[in-house]
Amino acid sequence: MKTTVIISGFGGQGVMSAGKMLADTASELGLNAIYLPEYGPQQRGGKAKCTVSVSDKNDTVYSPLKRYCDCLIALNDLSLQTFLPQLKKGGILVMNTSIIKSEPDRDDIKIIKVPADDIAMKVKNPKAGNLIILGALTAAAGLIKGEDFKSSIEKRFKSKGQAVINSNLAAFDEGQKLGKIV
Amino acid sequence: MAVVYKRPTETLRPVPTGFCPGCLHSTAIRIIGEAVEEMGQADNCIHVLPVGCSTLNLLEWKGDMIGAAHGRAPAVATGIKRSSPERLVFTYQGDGDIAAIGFSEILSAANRGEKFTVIFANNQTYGMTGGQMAPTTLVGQKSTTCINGRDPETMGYPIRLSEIIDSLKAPYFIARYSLANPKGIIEAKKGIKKAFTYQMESRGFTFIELLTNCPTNWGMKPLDSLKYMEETTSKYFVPGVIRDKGAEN
Amino acid sequence: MAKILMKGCEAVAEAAVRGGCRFFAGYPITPQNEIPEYMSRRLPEVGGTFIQGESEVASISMVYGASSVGVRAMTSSSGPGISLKSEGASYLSGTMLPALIVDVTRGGPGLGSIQPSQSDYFQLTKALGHGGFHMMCFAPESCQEIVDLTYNAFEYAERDRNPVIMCLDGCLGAIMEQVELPEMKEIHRDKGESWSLYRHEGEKRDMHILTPYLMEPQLEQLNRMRAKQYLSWQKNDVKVENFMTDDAEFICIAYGVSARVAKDAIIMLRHDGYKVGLIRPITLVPYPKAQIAGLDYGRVKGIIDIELAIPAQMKDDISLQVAGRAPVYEYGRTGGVLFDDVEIYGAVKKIIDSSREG
Repeated sequence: MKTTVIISGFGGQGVMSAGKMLADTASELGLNAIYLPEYGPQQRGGKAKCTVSVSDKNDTVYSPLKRYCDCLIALNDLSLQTFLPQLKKGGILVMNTSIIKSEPDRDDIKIIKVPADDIAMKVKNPKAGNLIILGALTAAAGLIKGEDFKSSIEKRFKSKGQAVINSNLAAFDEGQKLGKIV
Repeated sequence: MAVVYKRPTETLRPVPTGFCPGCLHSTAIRIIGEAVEEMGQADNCIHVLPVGCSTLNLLEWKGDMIGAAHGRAPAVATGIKRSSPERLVFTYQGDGDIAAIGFSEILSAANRGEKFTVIFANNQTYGMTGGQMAPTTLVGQKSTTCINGRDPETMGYPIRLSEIIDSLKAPYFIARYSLANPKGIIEAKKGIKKAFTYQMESRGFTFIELLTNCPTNWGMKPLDSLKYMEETTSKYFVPGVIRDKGAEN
Repeated sequence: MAKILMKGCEAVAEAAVRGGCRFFAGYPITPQNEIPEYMSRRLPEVGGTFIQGESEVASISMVYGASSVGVRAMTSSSGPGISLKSEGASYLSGTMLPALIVDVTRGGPGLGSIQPSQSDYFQLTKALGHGGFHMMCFAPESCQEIVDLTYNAFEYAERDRNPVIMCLDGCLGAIMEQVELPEMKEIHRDKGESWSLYRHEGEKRDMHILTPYLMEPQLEQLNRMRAKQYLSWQKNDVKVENFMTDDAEFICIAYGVSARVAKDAIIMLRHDGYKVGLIRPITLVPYPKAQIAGLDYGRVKGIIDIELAIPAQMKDDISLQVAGRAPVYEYGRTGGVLFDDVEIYGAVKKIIDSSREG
């Protein structure tokens, strides 16, 4: 098993933290994970992109620098345009439709539209946009089981209290629902 | 017959110095040796050598020594003192080493309040390399790179390093002494001992500037060079204690 | 021990601490800022010293000072800063003091770019500093290898009384991967007694001089001793990985992140029926000369040097060993522009195809 995910958006949209969380969770589950962040010289507001490759021992990903990805998470229009050609045929696109207004012009991929910011507002957890996105991704790609990801969320937010954990789990579930439909 | 004077035996080797005849470097290193020995620190002392004539201390000094790159002695001493705070650490640096190529290192070490002692021998010339203009060369003073004398129009004015260090908040003790006469030498030794005492009490950064000469590159007889120091050098680089936080308390 | 996810820059810092590093001085420069930042938090926890130096030159001089009293000391930088540290590197080697220097390489020359590149091979392997000396240079490809090599770097540095260089490209500095961290080494500082200025409190002993300035005959003696040491590295300390080379007709040679990109490309090429393999130097100094010289040139039809550098800086070292028995090709990107697996796949395929046509 090997899966490469590209996540991209503006600096400040949580691109890097989403990638790290994905890599971290995979790592906790005993999978090999490589997380490669790439950003411009600006501290804030520039382009942000990261690549996460998850694999197991039988089928290792060596290169952190991959041309094609199995999944693409696009958080803004520019990212969608830039990286859509790098999504493999049959791959999964998760796009944040709260921000992206353009339509992807490919019919050989699975497309999951997640109005992440709107859902986040709805579940009263404005910071949870990326958890919703990751919920959708994991449900659609099956690369990490939803239950495993949720126990990882519980561990991660343990110090913040049960209310925060529950709110994050709820957000993640919203994403899972959208991912499973496809 | 009573012994009224003897050379230090624990800090200096019984060998001729490497310095030219009449050079006050040898006086400076002798009083430093006496101070260290009288304080019972000979075994505990680390002498950081600079680049320049003062590297020749290597021949005479008897104790742990390490040679630094040109100007870097305060950085090397920082690494030593932070790792071995129990040791008595001092650098001995000439004016080119400390006030030109090592200007950043001395100011930063002083600003961090590093708890070692810097002894700066100011003779207004690059002695080892043959008498080029130093950052401290006086206006009008001749050198091999300003044969008509230092012209402030293009070469600026001599740097008063002690006063610059005095502009920083951290340093604990700053003093300038002239080695041109016995009184100055005695005061200098007292100042060095005070600086070393402050260091061993972990009080802060201590800085001693010693006005010295360079008869060879000044093109003077030794006695004339002392006269020049009294009449000219000491007027621009005025001797005295510039800061003593220990006396303020 | 459980594996944890760690960034390359943090892995090198933590492994150094576990390997006994108790002194760090450095200056901010991208893409290695995570190393001093990590050390500023970590070293005080283990009784060590962190100093943000006023400059690159001062930082390595502080390391020189700390090392002189028997403390395992380290500094890190990237290309432009490593140039400035070359003074200190030469002094460390000349004074026979151990130290660890890390270069997280970026695009050059000049201020260059802050993006990853393998632009410093010449600098690290041929002439980091005046006077003609070498330093052992390790080029890991993964965070785990960063940990393993850094953990033991001080053993080499103290054995040889010479600085050791870790060459990480910016990509390796930034990636996060699982690492298994080794136990904290117990440090016996008095081990350094024989060569350092370290003394037990109140101990009386003869003076010790550490000087980069020697009389001509002693200096010649030192350089002769070093020359023998370099030969012994070649014999005993070369580290190299062979990847699918057994039947390979074309051999790629790459180090660091380039080697990983090449591995995925080779898997694709093998899928297409191309008999390609990879030799990965893990030590750049000593270079795996025998491994390249000893290839079966009846079978091997070509060598392809793959680097994030134009011109390919390792090519001369390779060509000396191949000695005309096969053509040596190069493929690279430079200036902070990166290649990916598909690009290397295409480039190697093209080289092989055109060599067959030719």
